[in-house]
Amino acid sequence: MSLDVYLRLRAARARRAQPRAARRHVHLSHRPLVVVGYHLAGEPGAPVALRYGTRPDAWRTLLVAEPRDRTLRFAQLAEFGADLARHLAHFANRAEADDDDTTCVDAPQILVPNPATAHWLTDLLGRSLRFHEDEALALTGAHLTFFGTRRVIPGSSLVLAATDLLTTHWVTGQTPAEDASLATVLAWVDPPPGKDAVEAAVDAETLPPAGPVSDPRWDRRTWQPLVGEYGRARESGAGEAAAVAELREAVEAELTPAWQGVWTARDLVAMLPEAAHVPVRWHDDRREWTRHLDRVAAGAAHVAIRMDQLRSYRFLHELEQRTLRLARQMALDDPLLLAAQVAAGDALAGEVVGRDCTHRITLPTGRKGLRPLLRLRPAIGFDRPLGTELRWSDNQAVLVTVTDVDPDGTVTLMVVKGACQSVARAEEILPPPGAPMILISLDDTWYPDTLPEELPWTPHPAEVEA
Amino acid sequence: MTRTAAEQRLAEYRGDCPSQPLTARRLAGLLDVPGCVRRQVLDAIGAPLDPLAELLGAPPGGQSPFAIIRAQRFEERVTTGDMGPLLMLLRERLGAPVTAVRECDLSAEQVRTQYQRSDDTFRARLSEQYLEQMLDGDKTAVNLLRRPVLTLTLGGEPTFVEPDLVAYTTTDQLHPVEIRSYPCIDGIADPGQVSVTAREIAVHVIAAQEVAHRLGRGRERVATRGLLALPRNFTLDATGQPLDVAPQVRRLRRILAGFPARTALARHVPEGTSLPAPPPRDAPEAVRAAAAEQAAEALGALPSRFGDNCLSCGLFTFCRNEQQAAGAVARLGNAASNLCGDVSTVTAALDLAEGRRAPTTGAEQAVADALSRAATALTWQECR
Repeated sequence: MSLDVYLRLRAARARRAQPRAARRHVHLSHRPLVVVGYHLAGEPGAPVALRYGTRPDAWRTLLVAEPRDRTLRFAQLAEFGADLARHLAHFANRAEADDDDTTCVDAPQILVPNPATAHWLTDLLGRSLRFHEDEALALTGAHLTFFGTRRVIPGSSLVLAATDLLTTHWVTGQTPAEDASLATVLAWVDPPPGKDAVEAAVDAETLPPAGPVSDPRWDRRTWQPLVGEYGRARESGAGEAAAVAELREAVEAELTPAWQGVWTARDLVAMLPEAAHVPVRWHDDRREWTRHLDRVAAGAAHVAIRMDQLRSYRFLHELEQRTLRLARQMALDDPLLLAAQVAAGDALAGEVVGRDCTHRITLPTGRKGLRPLLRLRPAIGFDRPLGTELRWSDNQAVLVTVTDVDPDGTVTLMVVKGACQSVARAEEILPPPGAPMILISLDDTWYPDTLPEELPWTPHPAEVEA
Repeated sequence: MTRTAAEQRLAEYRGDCPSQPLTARRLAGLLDVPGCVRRQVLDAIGAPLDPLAELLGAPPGGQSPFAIIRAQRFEERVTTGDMGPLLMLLRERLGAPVTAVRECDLSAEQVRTQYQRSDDTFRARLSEQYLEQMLDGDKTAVNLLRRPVLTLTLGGEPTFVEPDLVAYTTTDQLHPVEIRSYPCIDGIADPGQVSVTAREIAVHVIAAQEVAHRLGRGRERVATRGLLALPRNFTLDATGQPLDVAPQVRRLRRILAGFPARTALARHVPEGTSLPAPPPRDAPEAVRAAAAEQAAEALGALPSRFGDNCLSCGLFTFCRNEQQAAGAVARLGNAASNLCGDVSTVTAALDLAEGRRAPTTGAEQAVADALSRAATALTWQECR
């Protein structure tokens, strides 16, 4: 936490965002589906416009000229569904059959400006469509809902929000609450030439919102009159096309900054080198995508409206495990995030000043066992108690315990795992005196879920209102 | 400071700025910005925040016309046909054995047509009369009040709030009923919006409890458990959930009780400065600029407290720019200002962190320790 504040202070001084991470911790698809859009104020089920595409210079904008007209709305959503299905069809290739793994070789990725748009698109629109009588629309709803279920999984890259991308990798000099606006975060990270971030962020505040809720003033001054005009044209049967063209022009202008912002954010993050664990997590995403395709093929892509108690428990359990695992993987992959752990006192960093690879102790079995000792001069005082177990960040098989801390701060560590086979092995594995070393606290104990399939002690959950 | 002197100082400070009764939303907003004297003074004199903020360059607020239309349509749907949909919800969700609605509309328009006057004081007196009948347990009395006006004391001064509905049930308690137009999808509404609504209901509950107390009926006759009516899924059909705002009531009571008295507030108000009357939007540029300058001077003269929740306050842009210009740590949000304690500028904090200045007090030492750990960790990692 203190490193985060320190970086914010530095960002304020530099008048420019500071890197929080030195690696890219998300998978970036070479062909993401970028979606930006607005819904009618107060009515998330009624899209006003959706702009989507897989290239910054080529997109399609769907417009619902009268968002409260359900026929118009579902006709446009059907168009979106057809395009989505076409896009998703590119990701159905499986690995070679002789390989044991039949996971799809690639998975689709949806990129949106902010978490609110992701929620609107995958959860709300997904929910409004998946029970539709029309099969194609219901399938669109099922796809979107699948993305919604993955969106909340820590470390998943199937749905990414541009503001999250930026704030994961940079720290701005504004309040965290302001970081929810794509335009201002972008101004902090990448101000236009000739401006510092503070000026750029003030300018960015005048840009139209990134959605999914439009600017109330724009609604009142521009959109409402145009919708009225369209309504009159439709009634009189003359000039409907012209009215639609005007609506389209207005909404395109409003959506353009967010559209460009998402692509800029993606390009900025793409410049960072990929972190080592990203392919591992992307493999999880590909596996889940494959499973979703299988369920769609079997006609079983249903999602319960509400999880039952057991499922909720398992889901929470999974979220907790994944949150921890993600934080751990990110710290191991990234020197800057590792520095944050050191600053917080969770990790021990310093220089090796002594090494005894022949140290032996009497084990509880009575036999003598090799337990090499390391002495470390910490860069920052380490105040965890004796007996704390730590792992070496460069080789996590090496487990040590803190056995002594000298008055001058030098820490004695006893290696209990990973380099105890022989003196020669220990000398080969452990760092020599003079080398820098970082040890982190890595509790990766897996607590298995031992609950039965039915919970015997709770009443049957009441039927949830549909 | 004596009471008259305080009143005079506050009146001088208000100057030509009109005074406005506080809305429930604004009172509930006190929870977001505790301890901000600037906001407390403006609330105490009832100065309108949004016109002042807009004058000072904040983007104009306001609701989308589409949201307003939808809210009206939904309210009509819920209250249509002798409140049929609402009655059903009251019975099913709140467990209130109401069989028929005897409604009384106390909205400004209604009261004006009936009594030829509709000022808040008059409506508040009418509302009190009806509430008294309801509290008496009269079986033939009105059991649903629409838009009553209730009085609430803030820093020793009465102020008015206007709830949507107060329903009465024969279980001997009054329950608040609130109609909102954000959707409740599969039984779950947006938690952010529900929590905003819960705070506003809490304001209404406290006001009604105070009325009951004044009438000698006991505050517990007004329940904290009410009904929140929302559109179901993607339709305009009504659904509802019981909502207990007891925690919000407790927190707000604390804030309201701790709201400084006017004599205490007046001490922070400097002499010789006053707020302008916000000129209309189409006023000449020079007039608006002059008013803006006066407003900036008057507001800047009051001490403020800046933090994460300020985003919901109308004056956010003004205070943010002020913090930015001062190079204040508070500009970076609560996490930064909590860590930096009384080291209030970015330069001072970084000097401590990077060892350019030795800490002189215990508090500075703590800040220096925390920040220099971060600085060392970063340099160590960069040099490796």
